[in-house]
Amino acid sequence: MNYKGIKIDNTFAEAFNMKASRIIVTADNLRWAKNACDSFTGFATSVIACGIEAGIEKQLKTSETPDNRPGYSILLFSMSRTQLEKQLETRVGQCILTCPTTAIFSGMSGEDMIPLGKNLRYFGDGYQISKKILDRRFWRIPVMDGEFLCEESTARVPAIGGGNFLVLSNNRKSCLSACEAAINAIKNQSNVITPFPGGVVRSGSKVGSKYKALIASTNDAFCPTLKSIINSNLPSNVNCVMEIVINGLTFQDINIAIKNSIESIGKLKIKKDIVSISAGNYGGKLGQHHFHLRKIMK
Amino acid sequence: MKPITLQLKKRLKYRIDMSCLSTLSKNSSSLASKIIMYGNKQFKIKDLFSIKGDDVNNIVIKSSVHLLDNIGKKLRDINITVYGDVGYSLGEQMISGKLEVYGNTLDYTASGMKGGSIFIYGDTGNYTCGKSNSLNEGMIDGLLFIKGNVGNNSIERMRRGNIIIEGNIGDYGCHQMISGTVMIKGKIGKFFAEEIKRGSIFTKDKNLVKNYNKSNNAEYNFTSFFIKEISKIISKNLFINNNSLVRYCGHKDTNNLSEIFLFKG
Repeated sequence: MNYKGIKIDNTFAEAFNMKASRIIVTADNLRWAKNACDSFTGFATSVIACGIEAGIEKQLKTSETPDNRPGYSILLFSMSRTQLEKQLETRVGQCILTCPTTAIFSGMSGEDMIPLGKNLRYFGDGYQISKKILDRRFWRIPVMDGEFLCEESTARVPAIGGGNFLVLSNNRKSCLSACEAAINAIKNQSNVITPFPGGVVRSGSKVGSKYKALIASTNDAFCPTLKSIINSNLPSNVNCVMEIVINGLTFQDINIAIKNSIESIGKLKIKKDIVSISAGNYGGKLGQHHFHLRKIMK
Repeated sequence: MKPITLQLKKRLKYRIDMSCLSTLSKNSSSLASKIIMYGNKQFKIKDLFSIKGDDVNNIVIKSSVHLLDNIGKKLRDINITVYGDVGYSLGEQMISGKLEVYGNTLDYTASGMKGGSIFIYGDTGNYTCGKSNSLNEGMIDGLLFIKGNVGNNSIERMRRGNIIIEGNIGDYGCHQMISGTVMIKGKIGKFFAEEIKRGSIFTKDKNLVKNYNKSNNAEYNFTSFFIKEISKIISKNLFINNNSLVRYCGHKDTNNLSEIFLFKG
């Protein structure tokens, strides 16, 4: 299948069931809100070693935040409730509470609630003040720049992580440009994040390794430097592969994100350098959700 | 479905306990045959009220009088709107739902309230938000909006929740307040907030802060957020301007943790 001159491989991305939560971080200005969010979402690229996958969902206008200050919404994904709770609490405590002028709120409602500032309040050493507005409880924790306002809990919802596609190019510059355009296309899309640095992964992995201690290792089938020594999946003219991993709250959100990303690549001048768009999967046996590229781009 | 509408058939001589409205089953027809006491006799509700509508989650009482007691007592997930005055113990120990009264109420309004929201577009009597029978705490949670004035001995031993009063409050208000938030637009009576432990009070009465230390000029993200949220709930702009707030915290004599936000009115 060809989409605007780009070959779309007949394959699918394999994604997994995850648990997700959304938080809203606000501050006196965007700079400090961004600082807090960058710190919070740092080292949150993959559940393999980071515990959670997190990223900035989008920038919010002052009219969209609970306290009418500039801010960002963050989405967090994890495989288990325990990890999500633990990572959320630790990261809020170390990255948001410590950042000047910030406040934190729950970004979604639901029945299944997990602690946000529930245990963080003890930092107040007895001077913390609780305020309840109908069903939502907030904590005011005295800190050196005034008060840190945080909501007691946030909701946890089922979500999908690991939606992806691969950009196969004959040179690295074009591959990176294509990925940058793809990321820009979904930068402000609701309900999805791209947890990896800048949204792009260059170290795609396969399950298992020749070394027993490792549960994942380099995806040799897509490594251009190994083409001559292994049974590679790559055509001869491919010299660079990059992957975009998309986590979303629903199947449809990821579908839209993949479509918008590939469409944006189709608008680029350097698309002649893009050999094809492929996707990463494990044979369809591990993941519960399959994103067929050709169906999406139909 | 249309809300159940109750209208009195005749002028009342005796008080009526209306707490049966809070325990309606899903079937609206059961309401008509509920037994209530009137004087020293038993009556069915349909004997005293004309009943229309079938939505058991929404009840409207028209042309109510001050002889209807216990409306919304222990109310759970039902919305009741009352046009006219109501009697004692409106919304006592209410758990959830919404009560709206377009009239005045008598004593013990919202005493021991545990949740939900009450909007009173008139005055309330004494012991508003006071301790309910057999309980040692007053309001435990929820939101109470009063457009008019509030009587004496109100808001006793308040534990949690938000109270917005657009009128005046009588003597001995906020006695032994444990926590929660009270916003008062009008004048405050004598002996206000005696033996208070914690909690936030928004007022323009400067006499109240005589015994408090003035807090620093730190910025409180909380106040602007709180005012915005409360305004959203009561569907109108709150009488407090966030920019004019001055915080007083720490009683000079008792070392309690209460705080007073003084605003210009």
